[in-house]
Amino acid sequence: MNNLVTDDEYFDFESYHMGTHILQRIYSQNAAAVATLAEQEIERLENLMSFFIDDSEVCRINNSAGIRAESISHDTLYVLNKSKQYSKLSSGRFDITAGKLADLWGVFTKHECVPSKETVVSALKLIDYEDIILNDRECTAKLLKHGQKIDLGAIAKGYAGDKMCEIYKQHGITSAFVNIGGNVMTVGSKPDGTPWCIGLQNPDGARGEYIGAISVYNKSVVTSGDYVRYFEMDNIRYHHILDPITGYPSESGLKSATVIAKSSLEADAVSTAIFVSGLEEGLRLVNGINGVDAVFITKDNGVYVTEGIKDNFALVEGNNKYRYI
Amino acid sequence: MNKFKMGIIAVSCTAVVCGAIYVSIYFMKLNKYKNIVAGIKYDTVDLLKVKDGTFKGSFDAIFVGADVSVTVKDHKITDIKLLKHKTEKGQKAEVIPEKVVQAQSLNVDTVSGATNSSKVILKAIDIALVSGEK
Repeated sequence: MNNLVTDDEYFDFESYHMGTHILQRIYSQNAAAVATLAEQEIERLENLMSFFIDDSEVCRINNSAGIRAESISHDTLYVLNKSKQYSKLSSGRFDITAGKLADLWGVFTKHECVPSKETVVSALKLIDYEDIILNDRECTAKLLKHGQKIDLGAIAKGYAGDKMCEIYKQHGITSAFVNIGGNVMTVGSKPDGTPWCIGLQNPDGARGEYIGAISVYNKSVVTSGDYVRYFEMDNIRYHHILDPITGYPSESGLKSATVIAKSSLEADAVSTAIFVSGLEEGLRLVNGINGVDAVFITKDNGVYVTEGIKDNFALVEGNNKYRYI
Repeated sequence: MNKFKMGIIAVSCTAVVCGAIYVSIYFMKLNKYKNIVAGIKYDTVDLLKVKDGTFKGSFDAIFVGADVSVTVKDHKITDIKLLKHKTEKGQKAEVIPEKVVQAQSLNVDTVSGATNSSKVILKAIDIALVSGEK
């Protein structure tokens, strides 16, 4: 299976998909071939789920909102079903029909702007995950109301991470990870049996600077934060994680929220949900889901770590302003 | 001392000397690699001057090599494909025993909440774009 020359030897592959940088690190002789397959997979998923590719399944669903159901792939059906599930669990703090809002604010486009209060209020009427009508047997999806839009930006990378790691495992790989724009999904342990050491980005630091680290086996670590994608207008900073309830960038008192889970799709969706919800509500959500842990970083630099991950998390010395709460 | 014993001593000395040379060459290479990466400078590429097409760039820093192919359309980068073979030997990872640790006791594999992009890769992309600037 694995005939490694030395245990330290790994292969790094970098590419750009889903609007971000992807790093695949694989410890295996067949790394190149497998990384290529994994890359093709994320490309395939992007073509199905992108908000910005005209003939993606997401765009077809959006263009047919209020009109008809669209045939979709099993991948998209799965992600849509899961999205509704997390919407229910988070009482709507996670809601892919907030795609309408993403449109309004011009998130990830060159036309970012602050929409008027009126347009935000009318957009809110179109945000309701219950309006996503799915037919599992026929494999179709329909948005109930004209003008509604879904955006899988907060969950697609998670799904891609899971699928890529599935491909690694199918090809006998036992040590690998993929980092999709900051979404980390790991396979197994490092070749010497030690866990993966995943740093936690310092919200106020340069890219790559971490305030602490989590050690994991076979888990995903996904962070949602307001410090990467944002724009400024009239001295106010507007970040890209829109609250589906208010229609504005979330203001929950958090700088970032990190989720550790077995599935990257779950970590992705839940990290977005708890970032929008804040510490109290977010904790309730995390405690209500089996096998999920979290690290919250508050606006006043407090670091809250849930029970299940306490023994595998450490703050780094020298980050004097960050302290446990 | 008989010829046999002298033979053994000669072979052992040669082995030790060879070992020492090998190790010093390794450290010289490691140093050179570190200096190369630390000294990487980027050309300022004006995308407006880059024509449509796919361009290749290569950058070698001894332990890390990067080959990239960059596709430009309408003065925007639409695709970057790259493959990097890395055989740098890393330190053994430490298990995290305490709640607050020294940075050097951690051997972080990757960072959640931030993208990675190595200097070597960026340099190779730079080289590819410069070749497309005409």
